Order: sequence, then C-alpha cells, then structure tokens
Amino acid sequence: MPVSRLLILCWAALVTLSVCTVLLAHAGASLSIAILLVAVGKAWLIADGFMELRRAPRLWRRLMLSWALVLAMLVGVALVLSR
Amino acid sequence: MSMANPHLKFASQAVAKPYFVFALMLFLGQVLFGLIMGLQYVIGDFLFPVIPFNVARMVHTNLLIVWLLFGFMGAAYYLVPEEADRELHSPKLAIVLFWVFAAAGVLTILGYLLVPYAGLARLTHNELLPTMGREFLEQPTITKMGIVVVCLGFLYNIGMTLLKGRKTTVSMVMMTGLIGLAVFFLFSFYNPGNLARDKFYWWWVVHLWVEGVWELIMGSMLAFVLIKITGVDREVVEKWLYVIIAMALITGIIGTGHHFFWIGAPEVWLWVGSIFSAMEPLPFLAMVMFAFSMVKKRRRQHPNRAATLWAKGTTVTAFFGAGVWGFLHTLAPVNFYTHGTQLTAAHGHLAFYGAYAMIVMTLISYAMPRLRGLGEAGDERSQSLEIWGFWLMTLSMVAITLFLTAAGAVQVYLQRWQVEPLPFMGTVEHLQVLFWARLGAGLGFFAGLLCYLLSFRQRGRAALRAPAPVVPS
Amino acid sequence: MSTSAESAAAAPGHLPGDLAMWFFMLAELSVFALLILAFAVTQAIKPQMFSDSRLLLDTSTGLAMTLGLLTAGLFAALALEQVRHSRPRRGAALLLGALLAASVYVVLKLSEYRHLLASGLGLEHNTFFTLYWILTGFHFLHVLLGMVILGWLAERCRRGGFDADKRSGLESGVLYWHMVDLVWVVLFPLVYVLD
Repeated sequence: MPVSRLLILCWAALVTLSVCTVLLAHAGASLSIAILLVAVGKAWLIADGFMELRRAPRLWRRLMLSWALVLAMLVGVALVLSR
Repeated sequence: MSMANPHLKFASQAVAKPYFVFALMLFLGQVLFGLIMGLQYVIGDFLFPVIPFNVARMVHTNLLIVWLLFGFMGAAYYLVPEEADRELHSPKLAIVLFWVFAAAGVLTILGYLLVPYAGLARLTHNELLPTMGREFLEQPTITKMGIVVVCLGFLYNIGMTLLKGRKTTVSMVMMTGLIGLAVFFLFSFYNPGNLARDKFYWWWVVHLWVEGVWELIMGSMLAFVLIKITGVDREVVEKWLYVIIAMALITGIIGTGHHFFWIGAPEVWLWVGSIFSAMEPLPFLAMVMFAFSMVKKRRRQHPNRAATLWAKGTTVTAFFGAGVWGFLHTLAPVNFYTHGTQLTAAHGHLAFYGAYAMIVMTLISYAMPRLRGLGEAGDERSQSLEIWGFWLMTLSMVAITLFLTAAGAVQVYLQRWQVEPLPFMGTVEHLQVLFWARLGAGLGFFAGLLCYLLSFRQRGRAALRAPAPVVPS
Repeated sequence: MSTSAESAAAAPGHLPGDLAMWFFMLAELSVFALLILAFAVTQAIKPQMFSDSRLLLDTSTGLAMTLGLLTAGLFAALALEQVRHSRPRRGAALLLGALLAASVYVVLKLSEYRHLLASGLGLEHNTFFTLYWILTGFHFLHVLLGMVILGWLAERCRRGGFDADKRSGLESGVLYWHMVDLVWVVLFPLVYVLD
C-alpha cells in the first residue's frame, strides 16, 4: 500500500477514535478506563503512523509508546483512587 | 605580548590572560571573606565593627559575581577568535575595558569596606536613580552603569569578531548567553517601590542569569574545551549542545516560578514553579552524560589531564549542586518549610561552585598553559598540584554543602516544623557544631585554592612529552 | 509503486529526523507528563470541584480542536512523503494546508479562552482553572511554535530547500508537530472529558 494511503487511513482511525472519546463520555462516567485506552490508541497511531516509529530503532519506539501508556496508567490509578 | 606565542592560534587571544588572572585574584578574596563569615557564624563579634557580617556577606557574593564575569569574558576572548577563525576585532578595546572593569570593581569593593553602606549610597548619589540595597545587586548605580558600558563594549568586540568570521554553534551559543546576560542585567535598574514587585523583577536578573543564560555560557565553554581535549567531531558535540540548551531554556525560564512562591505573587506560580523546576536537573544531567561520553569517545590522549578532570568534575558537581540540591526545595509544599534556611545556602554553595566556578577553572586550566607559552599542558608537577587543588576544593565544598544541609534540616525542624517553634537566634544556638564543622571544611577549601594557585608557579619548564598514542575507544 | 514508496521512506532501523530533535522531544514530553500528572493527582484530591468546573467547558469545541490538529498532522506527514518522492512543490502546498488546519485550532482555542475570560473563569478562579490555563496555555504556545516551524518549512520547501536526499530538517520539523499532536490526544480527554 502506498505510504500516503496508509497515512490517510491512520488519520481516519484517529478521527474515529476522537469521536468515540466524546461518545463514551456521553454514555456515562463509568467508562473512564475505556476513554483512557482510546487515548493510548490514538497516541500509538500518531507515534507509529505519523512519526514513523514502526520502522525506527526499538529503543526510541518503546520510549514513545510507553510515554502514553505509562501516563494513561498513572492517570487511571489516580482516578480510580479518588472514587 | 610583543613576542608571538606559538601556542596560540591567534595572537589576540592573549587578552584573555589578564582577565583570568584577575578573576582568580578576586576568587581568592571571595574565599577569604567566606572564611571571615564562617568565623562570624560561631564568634558573632569577630572583626566587629571593622567588617560587620552584612558587609562581609556583600563582599563575598559580589566578588563571586564579578570574578565569574571576568572569567566569562576571558573565556569569550579566548574561544571566540579560535571559533570564528580570525583575530579579535579590537584587542586594544578588550584591554581598555579590562582596566575599566577592574578599577570599577576594586573601587566598589573598597567602598563597601571603607564607607558605611548608607554613606556609599549618598556618595554615589543613589537618590538620582535608586537601585542599591538589594541582595547581590548592592552595587552603586554608577557601578551598575559601568558594568553595562563594559558589557556593551565587550559584546561589540565579540560580536564584530563573530560577524566577520566563521559562525559555529559553540560561539553562537556563547554569544546568545552573553547577550542574555547583558539584557537581563538591565532589570537591576528597575526598582519599584512595592516590595513584592521589586522581588518579582529582581529574580529576573538573579534567576534568569544563573538558571537561564549562564547555562548557555557554561554549555558552550564545556563544548569548546571538550572539542579541544577529546578531538571528537564537532557535529556530535553540537548536537549535544542543542539538546542541553533547549532543556535549559524550557525548564530554566519558566522555572523562575519557584522564586515567586511566598513573595506576594499569585498562587498559580506555586504550580508553575513546582512543575517546571522539577525538570531543571535534566540539562545538568545531559551535561554529565555529554562530558563523560565525549571523554570516552576521545580520539586523542590530551596531555592536560587536569583540564579533563575539571571538565568532568564541573558537570557532576553542577548536577548535584544545581540539579539535585535545587530540586530538594523547589516543590512548593517543601519550600514552604525550607525557603530562606541554611538549605538554600547549601544549594547556593555547591551550585555556584560546581556550575560556574568550576567551568571557569576548566577553561583556565585548558587555556592558561597556552596563554603562558608553556604548550598544551603544564608539567607533571604543576598538574598534580592542580589535581590536588581540584580534589581538595571539590571535596571541601561537598563537605560544606553536607554540613549546611544538616544545619538546614535542623533549622527547619526547630524553627518551622515544631508545634512550638524556636525563634531564629534560639535555633542558631543549636547549630554551632555544624557551623564549626563548616568552618573547618572552609579551611580545606582555602588550602585547595592555594594548591590550585601554586600550580601556576611553573616557570620556563616547558612540558616536553612525546605525543601520547591514540587510545582506541 | 508499493516497493518504491517503501524505499523512498525511512529505511528500517533508521530514526527519522535529527537525533537532537528526539532528545528535545523527550524533554518536552517529560514536562508535559509532569503537568498532566499534576492535573490528574489534583483531580483525585478535589473530584467534585473538577467535575463541576469541567461542565463549564464545551466538549464539542474540544473535539473540533482535536480534528484540526490531527488534520494538520496528516498534511504535514503527506508533505514529507511528497518531498521524499522529489515533489517539493506539492509538499509546500500540503504544508500550507497543514498550517490552515492548525489555524482552525488556534481560532477555536482563542474563542474558548475569550469566552472563559468573559465569564470570569480566569487563572485564579479555582484550582481546576489554574491547571487548565497552565496546561492548555503551555500547549497552545507549542502549537504556535509548531506553526512557525511549519510556515518556515513550507517556504523553504517552495524554494526547493529540501529534496529526497536532503530532508532531515523537514523530518525534524514535522516530527515536532506530531509531538504537539501526541500531547494533545492525551491532554484532551483528561481536561475536557474524564470524570
């Protein structure tokens, strides 16, 4: 598949996920974890798709992917603890 | 200066020498006044009324600032021609400015010592443009103006050299830092009557110097020395430099917020200051990694072992002094208890020594043998004396820092944390042992400084050494 | 087509852009991580204040801003792809498109800021808004810087300053924009949505 089409697909997925975030929010407050997972998914799409980390050295890819994951986990812990 | 010095790439670099020599003389003075104060901490009326504590403190801190400025200027005069690959625009101007600055500095210090401070203010007509009376910016207005004139002439001289010559990252960063230094100093002329606003802008000089533009100067001086002593490619060094500067600027500029905590500024600064200054150790950590990885990748074994040691030492000490000891009390909830205690003094000592005193000595250590026509390095004896000086000074400063940290912790507990807190003087009674220990460490530092200065005694014994073999990395 | 497209892109195991840019992004991402964590922890301490204050923000504006940023990211990535295929003019046009999409975000954000200020919900209103302003304001400044970079890249691209072999500067600039996006996709749900 040409790279340009891949990028457009990646963008479409990002848009869909963004809309999902808002829909999930309207569906109920109990879905915080799902919203965080969607955010991680979007961050990974940007990192692997737009920033081309899927082909980059493993260390840098892991660093970028874990940035969003670890952050979302910590935020999730904070939110769960506050309940 | 009439005879050509074969060890200098450009003859005009020689103007750096008087700057370095005078800087070290002032450093000696600073340490002597530090010792006087260390004694006054435990024997309150020592030298009273000739040199009261507040005057000694003023001289101690002002000498620090001025000798570092001399060091930076000397460094710029040494490294900018070499980087720009041409002679300095006007060596004569550099020498004239040296004498102007030196005379102004000496007169100001004598003014502090001989005239009561209020009298000095009257004598220099402070009432026309009142700028005196603020910590570190105690200089009479006329001296401040002199500093501005010297800085302008200096920047013009360096700037013209740069404009006409090769522009490298190292020299551009140095120039940016020096311009920033001059620009932020202008805030010392702004002295609003409202104390909260005064403090607010006062930090623009004090903080944005040491945690902003001075870091650029330090970074470029370090990069210059590392390029010279390791022979590593300029490209690699420049990349590191970019990273360090970017981090220093992001964290340093907004990190000013940690000074706006309890001075009457809005509450938002508690958040901004805490969060952004939590990142301030990063540029210093990057400098440690930079120095050590460059030395490890070195392409040649430079005969100046002392300079290499200084270059590595300055990054580590700066990381602990500025980075770690700074972070110890930049979080607002911690700072609520620790601000203005001996903990601040601990941080100030290790940070200034590690980051700025040591980087100036790194450059002096590298450049002095060449400036004096001895070659790339001093002889074996003077180098080992210098290395003794390095360890004595550094370890003594670490000891001073630890004693002050302990004093700060006790002070916070007795004066701020207890349910029934002690008053300040009551607290100080309990810190006597620590202050005696600090004085002892201060003497150690003095001994180290003497070793360092004696290492310059070598005369005419040129270092004749076969070029050392290249070490495979 | 497919194989040539692959070969023109970054080779496997190769890090696009300048290494210095990656370190810089790492520093930026750490600062943002701290800010985001501070926001989350404070929310955990004061959940009621945060959910009450959040009601005063408009989620659909937030969504529109997200789409603006992501679209700008797409255009920037496509521009890089065009330059890799030695079509710098098309690349320049796409970079201008990215700039346009980014300005959608700027307009929306500014009107949101104006609206909040007009309602008296400034920096000092409560802790939620203190953190809201610090976090989104800091990000906003990054968007502005990113736009300056995009504009500069577009101009240089138009003048033929980049080509298939000489594109490290372009890659670095585009990467910076993606980082701004990356921060936003975590920031948006946290500030506007999560209760």
